[in-house]
Amino acid sequence: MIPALAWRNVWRNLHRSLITAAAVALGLAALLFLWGFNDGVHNSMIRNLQEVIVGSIHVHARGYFHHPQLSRTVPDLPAVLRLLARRGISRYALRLRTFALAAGAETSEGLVLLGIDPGREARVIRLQEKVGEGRFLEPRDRHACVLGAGTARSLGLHVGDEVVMLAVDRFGALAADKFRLVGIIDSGEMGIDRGLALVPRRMLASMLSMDGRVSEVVIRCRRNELEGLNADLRRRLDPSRYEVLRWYDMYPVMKQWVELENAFYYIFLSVVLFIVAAGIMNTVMMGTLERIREFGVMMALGCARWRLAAVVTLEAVILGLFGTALGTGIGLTLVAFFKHHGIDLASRMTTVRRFYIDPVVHTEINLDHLTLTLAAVMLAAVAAALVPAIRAARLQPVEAIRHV
Amino acid sequence: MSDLAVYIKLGWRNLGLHPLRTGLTVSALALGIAALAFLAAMNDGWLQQIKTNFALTLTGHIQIHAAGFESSRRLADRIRKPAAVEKVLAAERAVATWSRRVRVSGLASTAAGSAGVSVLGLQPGRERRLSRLAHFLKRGRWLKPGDERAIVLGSGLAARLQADLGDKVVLMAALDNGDIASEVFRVRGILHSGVLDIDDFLAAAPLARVQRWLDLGEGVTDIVIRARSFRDVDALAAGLRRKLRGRGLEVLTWSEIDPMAEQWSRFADAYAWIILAVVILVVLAEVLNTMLMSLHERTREFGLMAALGARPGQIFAMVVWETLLLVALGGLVGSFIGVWLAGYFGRVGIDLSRFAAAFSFMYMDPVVHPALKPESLLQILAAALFGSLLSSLPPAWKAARLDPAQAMRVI
Repeated sequence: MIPALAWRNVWRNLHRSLITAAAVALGLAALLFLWGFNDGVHNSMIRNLQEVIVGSIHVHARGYFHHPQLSRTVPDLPAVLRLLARRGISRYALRLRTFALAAGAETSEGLVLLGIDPGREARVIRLQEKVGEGRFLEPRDRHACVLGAGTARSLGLHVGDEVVMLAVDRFGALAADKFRLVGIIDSGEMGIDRGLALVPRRMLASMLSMDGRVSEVVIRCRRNELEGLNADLRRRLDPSRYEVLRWYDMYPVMKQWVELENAFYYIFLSVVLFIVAAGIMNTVMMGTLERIREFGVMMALGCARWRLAAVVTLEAVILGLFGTALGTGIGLTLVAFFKHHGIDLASRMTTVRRFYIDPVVHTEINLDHLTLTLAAVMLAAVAAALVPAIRAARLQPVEAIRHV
Repeated sequence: MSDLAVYIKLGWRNLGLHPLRTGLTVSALALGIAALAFLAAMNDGWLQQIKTNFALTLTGHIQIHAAGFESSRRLADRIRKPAAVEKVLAAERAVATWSRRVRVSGLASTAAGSAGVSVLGLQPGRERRLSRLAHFLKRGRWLKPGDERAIVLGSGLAARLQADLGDKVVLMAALDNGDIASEVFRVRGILHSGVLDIDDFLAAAPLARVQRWLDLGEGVTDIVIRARSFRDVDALAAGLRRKLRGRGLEVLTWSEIDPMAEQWSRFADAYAWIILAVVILVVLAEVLNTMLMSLHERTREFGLMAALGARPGQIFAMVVWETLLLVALGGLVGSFIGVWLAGYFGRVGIDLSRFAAAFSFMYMDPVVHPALKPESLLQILAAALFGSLLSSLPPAWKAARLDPAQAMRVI
């Protein structure tokens, strides 16, 4: 009988029910939108970091990351590639890395010389989109090289000029080779715009007598695959010979920044949640206030106090459920809409990219934030109904009926 | 009695007549305004902390150079008589402290290799009060006033040079006449800030030794100023520009030196503004809800008034005036609570490190100190007033147009 009564009460005064459900829905939709905004910024920062050059997971010879020496190459490359093939991973690239001195017309500069396979690299990173002048490396290139804008400027080099690279080969002998500058990268990222040169891996390997050897296997994967793949690779590759590093094992700053900002946001949104809960309580309170007379009549007709409380609570639960459904619908629609259209905060600003921030925010929401918010709002809606329910149950029938 | 006084008196009585309902509405408003004030304060405080940290990591609030140095970076463009500039600074109340520096790019080499560096000659004691550099020290010690050949390296630079504490490092740089001069230093400290430009390039050495090495005499390239408060910076810079005019100097604020920081902070402001706007919307909607509910409940009362001869315009005005009184009450209570909350947490701080991995580097502090700007509070109050008035219009309109006979039948 209680559910039927509650259900009828909800429909009997549609106006009141709608206002209450709207309070829940609006609060929830706003919370979801705010999470969407926050997660959108963070996820795009994390993606940008990975896509510019880092990738998601690196496989190196053990100790290579902290002491990158030419001799520390991936011990058994075919075995690693077989492992990746078995996992169905095709988005990976092979790189050979060394330090070199690049000589321009008058000056020289020390830099990281990175040998890449232009075709494969495009599956992992999007550095090719950051070429400001000229073009990126192409698969048929031989003596071609791409430099960061800062390095090109300080060496006084332009597209089409020749650069001489000096490096130490596998046997410790000094090797030199000439490359033609085909493109200049302007990424806004310090480590790339200054002190990095990209050349075809085959050319670098033959220059350094490193045929068939690579310093790093760079894998790109989706966020939800990252931990599983990392654990799997760590299990299958002998830790005394290999090291497997996630992007944030190598560059922890970004992850810590996201965690700190999320913590700030949790506090921020719990205050908002508090406002929403208070609003719901207020609305439910007001709703019961205007029904004091009705409750008095019910009690006078013999309705037990606990039944009355149960009806009021159940009504709130129904309205809460309805509001939550509505709010989730509106919130997710908003997130989906702005995921597609984007919110333009600063598209005229080019330098915010240096923090890997996209000036146009595309909202998206992480599943854990979605479920947490839903649960919190539902809980708040029910908790908000308890006070009015208790008040209703404690009414004196005679006085209540007289209440105008 | 004028109309106005009647409406206010009527409104006041109506509010007193239903203390519970009035209490609920006022508390909804007060809570919303208090929460908004607190959130705005949290936001302002956090952004200001990041900007302060950004400015004080290395740049300082204001830098004074010889005119043209910022773009030329040539030692020839230097301040030859820093003491004369410092005399002006000493008279400024808004200046907290300042320090002299020499900045030059050079080459560092060790037995293991060489790397490009930005050499910073600084006054160890003054620098510690000015910037956060000393605070990033990871190993070893900071420079001491008596140090001669001591040097502190960024962690990335130290790794590239494979230089550890006690190791010798040779620095080379070009003098202003084009000659190359070199000097030997010993690594005394290694710092890690999380900022790439510092960790990978910085080599900090005592100012006096750097001046002798580069044959600069008393000359320095920068006089870096820390203002007492972040808000004073622009006014202080304008004042200094006026007082130092005609001496061949340039006065630059942190945001002019690093436009990226300025753009980033504008991005952060826009970001924060969107979030606050959504929260304001939520608060207003909750207030509207409460108000709608409360007026809905009074249909009968309005019907009775209409039956007794109150004109629609009068009922409308009465509802609007009631709302105004409610907002005034709620705003007062809310601002009071909000200011108190912001003040309390501004002193105590909100420690985020319990929620995120504990760390302290780059531009963030894990402890947020809310700081409420008066203009933020005013904006919030204005939004609340505007929103509540707006939200009272439809119900007031509805109340004014009620059919008395129908309305009185509503229970």
